[in-house]
Parts: sequence; structure tokens; C-alpha cells
Amino acid sequence: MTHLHIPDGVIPAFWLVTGFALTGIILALALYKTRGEESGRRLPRLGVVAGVMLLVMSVPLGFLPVHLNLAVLAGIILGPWLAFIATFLVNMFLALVGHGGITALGLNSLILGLEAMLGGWFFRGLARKMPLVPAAAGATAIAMLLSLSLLVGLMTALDIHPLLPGEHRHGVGLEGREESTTVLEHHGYHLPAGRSKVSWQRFLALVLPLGLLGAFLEATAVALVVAFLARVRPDILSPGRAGGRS
Amino acid sequence: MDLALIDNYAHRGKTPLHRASPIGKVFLTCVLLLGVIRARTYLELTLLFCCGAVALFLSRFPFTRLLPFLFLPAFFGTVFAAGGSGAGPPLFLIMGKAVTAALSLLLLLLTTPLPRLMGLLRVVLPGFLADAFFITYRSFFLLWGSLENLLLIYKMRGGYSSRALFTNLLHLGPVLGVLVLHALDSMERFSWVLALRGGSASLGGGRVWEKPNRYDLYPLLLGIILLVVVL
Repeated sequence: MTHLHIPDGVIPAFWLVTGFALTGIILALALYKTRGEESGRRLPRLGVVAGVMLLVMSVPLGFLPVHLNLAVLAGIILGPWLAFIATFLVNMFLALVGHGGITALGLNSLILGLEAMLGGWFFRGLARKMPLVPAAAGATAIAMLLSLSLLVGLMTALDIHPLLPGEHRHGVGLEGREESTTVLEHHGYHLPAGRSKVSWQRFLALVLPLGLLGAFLEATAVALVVAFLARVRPDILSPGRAGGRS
Repeated sequence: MDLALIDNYAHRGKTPLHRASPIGKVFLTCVLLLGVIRARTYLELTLLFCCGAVALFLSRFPFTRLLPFLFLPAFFGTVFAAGGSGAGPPLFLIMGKAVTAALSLLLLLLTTPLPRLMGLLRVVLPGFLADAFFITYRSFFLLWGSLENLLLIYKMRGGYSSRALFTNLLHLGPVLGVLVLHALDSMERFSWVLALRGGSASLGGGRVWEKPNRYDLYPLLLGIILLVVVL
């Protein structure tokens, strides 16, 4: 598991819609930015790289549901904008088979898509200053950590974790004071007192080890693939090569 | 995540649900998803889960083969829910929601071949994205055989151990490299085919979807009943 798939029923509707809207905007921008590329080459390249990502996600690396996603590799091979489209397609496919919620498709695409875009950009930047393999490993690690931070930051800042107290003021109490309730209480559930501070610690304790393990595995895998491609077909890495050495 | 099994089952099935047009099944899936999002009690979730499970049972899909597909949503649901209140009803409710939503989507995909669903997707997605989605789907199955062969070679040469995660990864690098190369070569051939067709990126097909038929009554009625009972 090199990224988290937000399942259905976890996030309130407002944020789901926001996720879809933001993903839609970036998708439209990606389609606009890549419109100049040769159309006959753009479509199959995109489909095939998305197919590889999907395949790789089907192969578990061990007994836990840990798999690679190669989003950053897509960013390196396709370029950042096409890579965002590829991650959207992959997430849509995965959502249809229950791997990540269909209602959370926007947010899941945003998190993984930004990882691919940032990875592609970082690789381009780093490849000018260092050999391709460490550039790929560094770009992947940074992009994955930023993606993980985005997930955790999004859930913290927007208070969209369903089991965390959020200041949802929605009524006035008997004594005229505003009553604030948790998101969960707002939806009809009641948490035991004193749980709120423990929640994020527990969430981070669960997510961070998996995320860091994922970043390490993914960075290693992308570096190995880039090392192989740089030896065999360096032209494939040309969008990001920009003077880098393998 | 055995996509080949899903695809095979969706194509080979002959039950009324398989024969129904995608629009009826999409309606049923949407109602189930809406129910999952709105569900606040275990009773509601159980009812929704049972409806999906019974529909899958009637479409003759072996339930035991469904369990690996439901494991991942259950796992991710648990990760998200356990971070909040710890062990308690909400954890299982969130986990139940993730599993029931996954079941309702699997119901759609196990009874509808993706190319048929694609016609409907073309209505809501830009043509380029719909075409790319189709190529992704085709690429997956074209590359699946290559990956199986590569993994077999990799295992036969002692490169894989179910317990050695990092060693697996080290050995997997060149395997993935070969797979990417193979995929990109296929892509180039495909580009030439498109060039021969006049350089158009579009695979055609237009925004036409399958017309509803009498078998649609089954998912439509079930969907309407659920809509009334649950919502």
C-alpha cells in the first residue's frame, strides 16, 4: 500500500463534491495542456502506462495489502499532466472494483494524481543536477511524502475525518449558546468523552508507518526501473533527462 | 484483485442481471451507494449488504471468490475508522460501509462487461478520456499475460519469497522494466495503427448507449424498492 485509498462512507458529501470539482479542474487543465501533443501517440501512451500502473497494483508484495503504484514513474515517462490523467483512469478502474470508494474518486485521484505530477516535476528538476537513478528515487520519495502529507493535512485541516470532533455549529442551545457538535454527532453518532485527542495520534500511528514503508518501497522500485530503462532504452526517459547522467 | 476473473465472469454470465442493459444496473448501484452513504445503523447497512449479496447470488457468482475483493475495502475502512474512536460500533459501521459500497460496485462490474459500460461512460466523460479508459482496460489484459510469464520466470529462478518483501522488490525492478518496455513497444505499434487510420486519436463509438430491455425490470424494481424502503 504505497498510498491510501479512501473508501466510501468515510468522508462527508461536501468534501467529496469538492474533491470531484478540483479533480475536474485539473483534468480539464491537463487535457488543455497536452492538446498540442501528437494525438495518435498521446492516447495509446497514456492508456498503456495506466494499464501498467493497474497491473502493478494487482501484485501484492507480501501478506499485507502492500503494492506499488508507479505514479511517479508515470510522471517521469508521460510528463506531469498526462500522468494526472493516467492516475484518474487508474483510480476510476480501481473504484469500480471496490478498491477505493467511487464517491471518493475525486479525492483519491487528487492525492495520487498530485503525487504523479509532483514526481514528474521533481524528477525533471533533479535530473539536471544528479544522475537519473538517485533523481528518480529522490523525486519519488519527496512526492510520496508530500502526497501523504496532503492526505493527512487535508483530513486535519478540513476536519473531514468522520470520527473526529469538528466545530460544526448548527444550532442554538436552550440557554441561547451555540451548540457545537462533532461531525459524527452531526450524523447521529455519539463518541465517548476524551477520545478526540487520542484519535489523530492513533490515525497517524496507523497511517505513517504504512506510508513511510510505502514511500521507501516505491522509491526503490522506481529507481530500479529507471536504472534498467536508462541502461536499455534511455530515450524513454527523455522528457525528464535534460542533461542528467545515468 | 483478480480483474481477469471479473471480466471473464461479466462476459460469460447469462443470468437476467447479465442480460439487463447497463443503465438499469447503474441505477441499482447508485441506489445502493446512496443507501450506504446515508446509512446510520447496522440494520440499514445489513439490509443493503443483503440486497447486493442476494443479487450477486442470483447472478450465480460464487460468494467465496468475492471475499478477496472485499478484503481491501475492509482493510482501508478499518485503517480510517480505527484512527478515530478505537474499537467500538463506529469502526464496524465504517468498515461495513466500505465493504457494502465495494459489493455494490462489484455487482455492477461482475454483471456488465466493461465495453458495454463504456458506452454509458462516453455520455459523461470527454471522448479522449473514454478512449483512454478503454485502452487502459485493453492494455491491462494484454499485459497480464506478459506479467504472468515474467513472474513465473522470476519465481522459477528463485527470485520470489512470500516473506522477503525487500528482496522481492529488488528482483522485481528488472521485471517491471521489461514490462514497461513491452508496454511501450505495444504502444508504438498501436500508434502506427492509429496513424494508418488517419492519425485520429479517437476510437469512435460516439455517445450512444445500449437501449434498455425487459431484463432491466429486475434491477430497476429492486432499485426502486430499496429507494423507498431505505431512503
